Amino acid sequence: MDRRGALRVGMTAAMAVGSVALGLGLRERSGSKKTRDLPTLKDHRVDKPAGATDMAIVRGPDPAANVRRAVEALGGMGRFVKRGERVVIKPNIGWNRTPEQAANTNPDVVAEVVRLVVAAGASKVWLTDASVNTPEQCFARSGIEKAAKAAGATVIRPDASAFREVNVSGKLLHTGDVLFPFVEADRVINVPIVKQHGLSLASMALKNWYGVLGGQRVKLHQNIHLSIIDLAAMVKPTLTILDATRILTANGPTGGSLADVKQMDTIAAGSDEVALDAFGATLLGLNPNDVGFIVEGMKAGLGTPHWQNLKTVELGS
Amino acid sequence: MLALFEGDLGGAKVKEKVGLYDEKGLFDYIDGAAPIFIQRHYRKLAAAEMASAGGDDMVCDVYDMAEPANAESIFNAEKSATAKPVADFPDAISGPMSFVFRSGRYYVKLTAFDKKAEAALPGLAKALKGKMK
Repeated sequence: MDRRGALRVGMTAAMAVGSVALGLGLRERSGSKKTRDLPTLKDHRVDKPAGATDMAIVRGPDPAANVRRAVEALGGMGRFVKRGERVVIKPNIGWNRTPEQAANTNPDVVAEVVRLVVAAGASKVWLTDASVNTPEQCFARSGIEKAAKAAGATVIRPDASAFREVNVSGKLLHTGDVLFPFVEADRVINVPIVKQHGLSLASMALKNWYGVLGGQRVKLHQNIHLSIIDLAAMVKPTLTILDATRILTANGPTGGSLADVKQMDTIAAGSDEVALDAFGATLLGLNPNDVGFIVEGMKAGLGTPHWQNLKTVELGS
Repeated sequence: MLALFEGDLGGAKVKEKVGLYDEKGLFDYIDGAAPIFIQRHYRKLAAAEMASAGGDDMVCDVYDMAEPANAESIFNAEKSATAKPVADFPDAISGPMSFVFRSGRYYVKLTAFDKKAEAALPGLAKALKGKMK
């Protein structure tokens, strides 16, 4: 059983005996005792240069070219990553699915992000995710491990030794076990895919932070929208590159049938995860105001759903 | 449910042991998709990585929904808009890389990862359905 699975058993077992409140209480009590000694993740964001573009939306048939053009429209990777910095890249590698099935981030998109970060002079480029299905299958079937390694990343699979306990300091989550690159990195780049999700309506940038965590599943699923916001507020990523090369329009987050996949050939990039998710929601035919974590993200000050009001560049092929 | 994976499976074979997931464990396997099954009185999932006769990878998920009406409900809820009915196989749909059917209280999702495995899905489906009588 993978780590995420082991923790979920604890979560569902607690739910089954009606002891959700007890589970929360125990975690809170132990958390409040421990938090003084636990590390807190850095703020990974960078200042926006005067006049810089907030968000770039690029459409075209080549996913890697779309990434390059989007990052260039934002001012280049050098705006986000300085020489010598350590960077962790977080795609969605949650599922035993091929790229065509659109449950994981497109490997060509991920590889191009790695190449841009390497070219910017990063001293270390980690790539990781806490898969839902067996990590070995997910990392291989998705094509991401092979592509990322070839591009220069150090791929970290989510085995038990890869997690560190940290302060989350959220409304629901107080402490949590996160993959160690998020503790050590200077910069964090989020590379989610756009897909429908049975419980939260959609999985995009903000929801992708579930994949940093190895614990506290009771809280995560009891109030999914607030849990998502707690994790996003903890990570404070440097840059987000939203992959809508193919999107999963139904039966997410697992998918499987290509009948549920829509080719969009689109990449959106920027620093405002709420804005990017609001844009992504429209690709799924959703009103951003109906997506709980987008609304909560705005309330928490993580960004604006009104991406049209930002300085946005849209480029076609 | 393990008996469903024994004997003839249209040439397919279970690669490793069959995983069993009760309501408590369903999040382990399908994460945020679990609630729509649990709301429909889902009882248990048997999931297996399989190989076709040609050695191509497939995944077989058999959900015991407790009652035929529950299986029908989840089948209709997950039916892809562009998936197609299967000739001579009632209550089944196929989409590229996927074959989904219901039979009695069971709801079955078969997934392939390439064209060769996709071609083996109907044979596996027929074999499984035959064991569900």
